[in-house]
Amino acid sequence: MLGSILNLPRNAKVLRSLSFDPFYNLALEDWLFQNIDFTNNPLVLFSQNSPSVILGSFQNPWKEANIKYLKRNGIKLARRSSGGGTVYHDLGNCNVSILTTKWEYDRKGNLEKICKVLRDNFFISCQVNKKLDIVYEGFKISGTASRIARGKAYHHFTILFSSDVYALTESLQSPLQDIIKTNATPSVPSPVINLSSVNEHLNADSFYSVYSDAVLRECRDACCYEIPADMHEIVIHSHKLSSWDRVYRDTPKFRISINPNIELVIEKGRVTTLEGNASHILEPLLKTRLCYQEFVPKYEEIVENFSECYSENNTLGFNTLIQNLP
Amino acid sequence: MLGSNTLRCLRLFARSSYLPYRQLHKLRRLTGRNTVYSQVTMLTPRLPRSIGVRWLSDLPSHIKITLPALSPTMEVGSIKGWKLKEGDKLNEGDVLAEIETDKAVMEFSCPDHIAEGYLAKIIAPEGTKDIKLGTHICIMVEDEEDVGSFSNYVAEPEETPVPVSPDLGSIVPPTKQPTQDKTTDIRSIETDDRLKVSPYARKLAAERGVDLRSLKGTGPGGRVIANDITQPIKTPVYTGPKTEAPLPTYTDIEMSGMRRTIAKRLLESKQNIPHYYLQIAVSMDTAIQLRQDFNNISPDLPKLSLNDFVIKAAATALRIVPECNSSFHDQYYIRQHHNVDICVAVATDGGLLTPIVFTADKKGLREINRDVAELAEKARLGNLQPQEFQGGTFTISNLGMYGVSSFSAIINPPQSCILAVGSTQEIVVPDEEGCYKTAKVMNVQMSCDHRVVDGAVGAKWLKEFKRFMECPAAMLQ
Repeated sequence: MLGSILNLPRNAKVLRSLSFDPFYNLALEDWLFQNIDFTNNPLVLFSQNSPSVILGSFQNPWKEANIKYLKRNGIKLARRSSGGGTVYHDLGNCNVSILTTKWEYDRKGNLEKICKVLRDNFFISCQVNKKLDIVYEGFKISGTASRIARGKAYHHFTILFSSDVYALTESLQSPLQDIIKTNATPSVPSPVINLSSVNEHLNADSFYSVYSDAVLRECRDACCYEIPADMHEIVIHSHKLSSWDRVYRDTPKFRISINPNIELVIEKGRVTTLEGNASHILEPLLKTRLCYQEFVPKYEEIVENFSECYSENNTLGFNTLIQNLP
Repeated sequence: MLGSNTLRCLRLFARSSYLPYRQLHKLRRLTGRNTVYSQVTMLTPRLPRSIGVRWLSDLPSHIKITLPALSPTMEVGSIKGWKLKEGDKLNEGDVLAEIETDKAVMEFSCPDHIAEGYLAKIIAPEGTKDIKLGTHICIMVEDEEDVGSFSNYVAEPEETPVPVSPDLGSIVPPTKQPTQDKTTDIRSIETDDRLKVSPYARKLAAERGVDLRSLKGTGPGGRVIANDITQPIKTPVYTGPKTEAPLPTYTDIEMSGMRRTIAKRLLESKQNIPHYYLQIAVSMDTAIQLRQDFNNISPDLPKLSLNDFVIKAAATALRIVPECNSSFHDQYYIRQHHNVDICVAVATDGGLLTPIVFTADKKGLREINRDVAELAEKARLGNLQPQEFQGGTFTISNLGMYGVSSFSAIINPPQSCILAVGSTQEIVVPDEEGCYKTAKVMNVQMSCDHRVVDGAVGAKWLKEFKRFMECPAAMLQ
């Protein structure tokens, strides 16, 4: 498209979700991906989430997020369907999802067009690096993930405007990260910066209005739609995404080394094997889910029965794990 | 009469190469086994490589499925989950597994040319990371009853992708990047230029395991197209006394690792360092006389050379003007070294090396001489250890033995100066009585990094250097 600043054909449509519920927005994206045909009809979905941590599809929530901090501060934890690492979202961050057919899938092009919008309208010069992050002066302001299935693809990415960087750092630092061994996708931490500190006029709303204006001006048959936050089918699907099964049970198999002598093997969110010297003592823990309601009563049972092995000082290292159970 | 096994294989062939059943029945009627094989081997080349049909092994006919390129830029993928179990039926278009590559999750579905079948064996289990394109990941069979014969199947070692076990005990820390990396095994210099390849060519290359970088593109702009893979350019065979092609007017010499490193580092240096040059003429009469005297005093020891005097004088001058013994580090500080480690440029067959004479200011001439001889020998034989040529605070390059009267050298980052020493020439100078005399004069030119060394500082160093060369006794102080 000569002269177009956007990587969208003429009849693109821009959707903005009015919901701030991360599960609703993920369900909306999934629903659009499954039900709409993107041939000659690419979509751009713009959304924002209330404070939440979003895991990649094949990641480990205990390893990537500080579950104790999330519980204490009411931050939600969700798992998306695309790969990549864990991110922190809040209202100072926006999410853009570009849904197309798999032949129009072009992540670098999409991100470069965003850089152009930022440069032309807000005078911020950023670059796209090899990992497909958008970087401003060495700080990351955007992360990317995508999914390709059945002839369709979506590429979604975030843009940081005025996020709470302190909450971001605390939520993504798990105390269990060193004791969990897994094949799951690891997250790569990067230093981040808020774009509103570079240009105070830049925030999610101003960015959205510039972007949707650009689409309306340059693409024929383009229109902007706002999606209400209470569409029934999507609410039903969002309940599935917020369930224990999706967030915790879908974790790939992993091991926790409580101490050099005790290892728990967790599959599908449940303890399946105990390894180490004390495995006969810890038998009641088998088949329990790795969550507070199921794990802690069994653990306290063990402590009572074997009080001679345990003392106040010698909890065998389970304390950190118990504090970080969902 | 054809056996049932052969028939099954033929049926698979027929389906995959879209042979009409009429032709298949024709083949069935053939009596001689040899005839059948020759017909079938004629058909074999048309099959894409990701299918391998085994004829004569004891396993039933099966298809080995390899990891294809699911996107144009995909190079490796990790299997995140198998959607089917061993023994499950696979219909056309069914999703076999979810593969993660490069932060994208992609579905790998049943290849189009396999109509339907059963998943017999998974070779790369869930969790296997970084599988290269073309690696075998599972086996499919046509009939359900054949699934059992693969229960104990073990893939050949070079085909099996290694699943990373969750027991990652010790993580090897990344090796520290050397500052002067002139090692010969640096072949993986990152380049940002993308390969120009057509999508179909990429697909073919992935299926056949051909390295795209090794192909010459014949499409527009040097693009690699499908033709280049199916019919790669072959070297011409001499066919006899016909019209001979004209001989090429050049030879392409592949750059060795060392040459590439030299090219990269010196280009970086010239582009990033603001060089300026200071020249001075040094009168060499005293030094030459002293050298002769030393050599005469100890004729059994290896002969001293003028270069040793130059190194010693430079080292002593660096003690007096430490600004020239500094390195530029980022924008915020300049590192002033306490040791004077002088790199001496040595020309070898492979290229230029700069082994280091450590603490040259504290060494005597004999010691410097011995060090230089040892290092030059090691350099020529290629036996230099990394710690012997990585580092250094100042460099001296001497082309005097080639007759070069003066030249300017390129600074070795992160150092801030380099001294280029020319040959000693006999020139005519006016003397005290208004007459003329001859003097031996050597021209040296110092290149300095203006970010670290200002003109006056560099000039002061040169003045000290000249003083020590013209009056070596001053170095005794």
